[in-house]
Amino acid sequence: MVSIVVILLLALFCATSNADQIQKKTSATPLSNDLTLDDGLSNSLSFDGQEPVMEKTASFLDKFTFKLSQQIYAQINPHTTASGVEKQPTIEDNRLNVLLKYQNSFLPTWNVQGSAQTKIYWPTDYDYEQGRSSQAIELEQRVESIESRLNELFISKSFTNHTLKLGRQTLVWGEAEGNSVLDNINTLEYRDFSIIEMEDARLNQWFIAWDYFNEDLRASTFVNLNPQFNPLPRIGSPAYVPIPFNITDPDKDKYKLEVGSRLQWSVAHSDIALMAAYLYENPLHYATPTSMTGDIIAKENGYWLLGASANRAMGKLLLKLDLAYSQGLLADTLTAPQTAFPFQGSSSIRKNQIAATFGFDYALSNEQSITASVQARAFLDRTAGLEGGESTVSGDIFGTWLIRYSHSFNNGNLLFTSDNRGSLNADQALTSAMLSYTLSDHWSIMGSVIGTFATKDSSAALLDNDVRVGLTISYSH
Amino acid sequence: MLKPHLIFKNARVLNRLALSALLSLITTASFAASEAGTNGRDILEKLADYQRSITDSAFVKSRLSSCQYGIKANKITCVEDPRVKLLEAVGINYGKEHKDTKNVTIVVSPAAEKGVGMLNYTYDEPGKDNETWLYLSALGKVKRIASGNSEDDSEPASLFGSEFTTEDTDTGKLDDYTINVLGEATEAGRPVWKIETLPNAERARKTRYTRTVLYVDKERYVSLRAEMYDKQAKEVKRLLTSKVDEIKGVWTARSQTMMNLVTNRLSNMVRTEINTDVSIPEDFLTQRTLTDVAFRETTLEKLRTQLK
Repeated sequence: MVSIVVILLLALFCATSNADQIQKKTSATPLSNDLTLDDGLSNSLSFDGQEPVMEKTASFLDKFTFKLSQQIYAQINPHTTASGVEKQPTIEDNRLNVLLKYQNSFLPTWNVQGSAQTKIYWPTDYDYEQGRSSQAIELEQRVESIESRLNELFISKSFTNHTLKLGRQTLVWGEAEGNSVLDNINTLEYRDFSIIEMEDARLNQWFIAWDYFNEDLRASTFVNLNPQFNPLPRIGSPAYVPIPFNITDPDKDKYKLEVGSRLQWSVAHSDIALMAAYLYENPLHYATPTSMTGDIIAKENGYWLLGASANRAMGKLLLKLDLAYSQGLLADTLTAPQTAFPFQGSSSIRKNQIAATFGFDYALSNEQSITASVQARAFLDRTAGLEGGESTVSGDIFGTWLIRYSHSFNNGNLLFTSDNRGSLNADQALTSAMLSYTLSDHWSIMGSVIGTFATKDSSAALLDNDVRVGLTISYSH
Repeated sequence: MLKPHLIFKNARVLNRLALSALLSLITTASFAASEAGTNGRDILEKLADYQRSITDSAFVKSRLSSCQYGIKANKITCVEDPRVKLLEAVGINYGKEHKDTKNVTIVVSPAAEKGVGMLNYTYDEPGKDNETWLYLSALGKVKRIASGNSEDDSEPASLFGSEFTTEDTDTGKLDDYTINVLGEATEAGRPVWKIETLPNAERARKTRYTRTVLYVDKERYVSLRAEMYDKQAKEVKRLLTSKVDEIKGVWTARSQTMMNLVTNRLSNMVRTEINTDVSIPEDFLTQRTLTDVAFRETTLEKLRTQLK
């Protein structure tokens, strides 16, 4: 808490340090016609005719940007969840995060860029002592209460019509941001509820990516020689559920390969893409043991994806459509209790699936916009092949919805955003409101409220009626 | 990360501004002296042609600074550290009579927005929507932005959170205004014409200004000052020019300060570099420039070489 106060005071000091020596003009006082720009202001704001700012010799440090953030989140609602767990108000996150980015076009046609983050967990953070990954995350290291991870590191080489990118990077398909049926390539980690947007939760992977450009036609192909999977919730994190069984890791010795291609082109007011890929499902599926001494087995599953996406701009409206056909997905099932084992077991069966996301962006005004999308999925021949007493977890049609709203004030310095999402069968939902204020080019502050709701049969039942409030203060340079 | 919601808003503004706006601030009152008379309409008619000449094959670097201002020793000065954005923009004209434009704008700083790129295709044809694409590394993809057709169907918007708006940077549409030369005066020690523009009824519905007065340098044909009045005839904004350079035979305002007299906030836009007649490869003005940093930086370096 002390660190938060110190950072806040520093920010306020920086924002106001120059204000006490100059007479502030009130809008009630007309500005004299004789007033001119102060020479100091003119020179400090303006090009001085001798040395344009942007012509300064670039230094090594110019290739770096960093962001320092102190974040604190707390669950504040005393309640009993739908799953019957009693919760009291408690601080969940209290951490300092350092994000470092690097970009350097070190030779003509060559570029290298990367990013890494370090988190320092303070004593009231759930991750301070007990927090650790349930499953290893690639390139994440921890020493005591300090944790570091390499997010991104890739080198690119451009040719006349081609570009080759090699390294740890992000690949995103689909038009409906945050809710696309085609955005399946990168892994995600929703470690806690300070991150609720898919865009912030991505874990990059090692890819070889090749892009071809020819006027309005773009073709891209990727190969992933070491596919990763979404990690389970952190031990001690809000979504963690203690289980009296060992959960196996994915088979590290099994050779896995992901490969995919996408063809994109633009026509008047539309972008269109077709794609095909062989991918591994994320998240993993799990099979529960049939005896009290067994393990929960992680099941990897490779499948084929055929997809298409398109958008259409119509004035202030942008329509978005993603379509996917997946062959060989695993459909989760529940099996009847075995004679000697009293619990219903979970398993899965391979199925083909069709899926679609339809959404839109709409600019209500220069300051307000709304984004909405609905994702729907259906397994083909859903009940075929099930054993006696076995049923699929999902219904005929299942999916998610997403609504985002934003409104900026004060020339964009103050921004209100609301992110709302849930399942189509209404068994879980999340709603949030965030207010961020940019104090200066370097300092910003954000407050947020996040509510989660779930039914007792939902996979998110443990989070039912949770209300979290958070505060983040950031310095970037 | 920089939120897509915020970028979406900036994108809508950029779509309407981009390179042409960065330059149009210059051209709203900068024109060829030898051909202009004291007829306000004649003067302003030359602006559109001039703008097209200066935005074609152009590479412009700009610095946009904003702050709250106050008065110190009878001078206007910032009461806080200014917020600064550095921008690079490249563009060409194309299409019928070279009235369509393609341009790309890259944010150089601040750090939180560094690398944000915007590709804009603007069309002169009435009713044909402009097109804008945005690349955000946090999203990991190029995103098309729905933004409507320029300034005709939406209210004025702030340029990158500054006091400059799309309306302040708008040019042309002279039929929408009554233009009067009010007389002669002295501004910043130089003789000027005072030119008044009054919107007609249709334009008045879209503008927050009911009257604008320009102080145009009689010798250099540069606006040294502009005053914008609201519906209550109250001056709400004031534009001051502090740096004037001759670039390829045209006197050009390189530093302009827009003061919002209601909020007591000012923004200063400096064109640190204005380069025209640059040979710009057409494939640079495609989505590849947004996603391919190696390609973008290599091409920009070639463009910079042309400037030396």
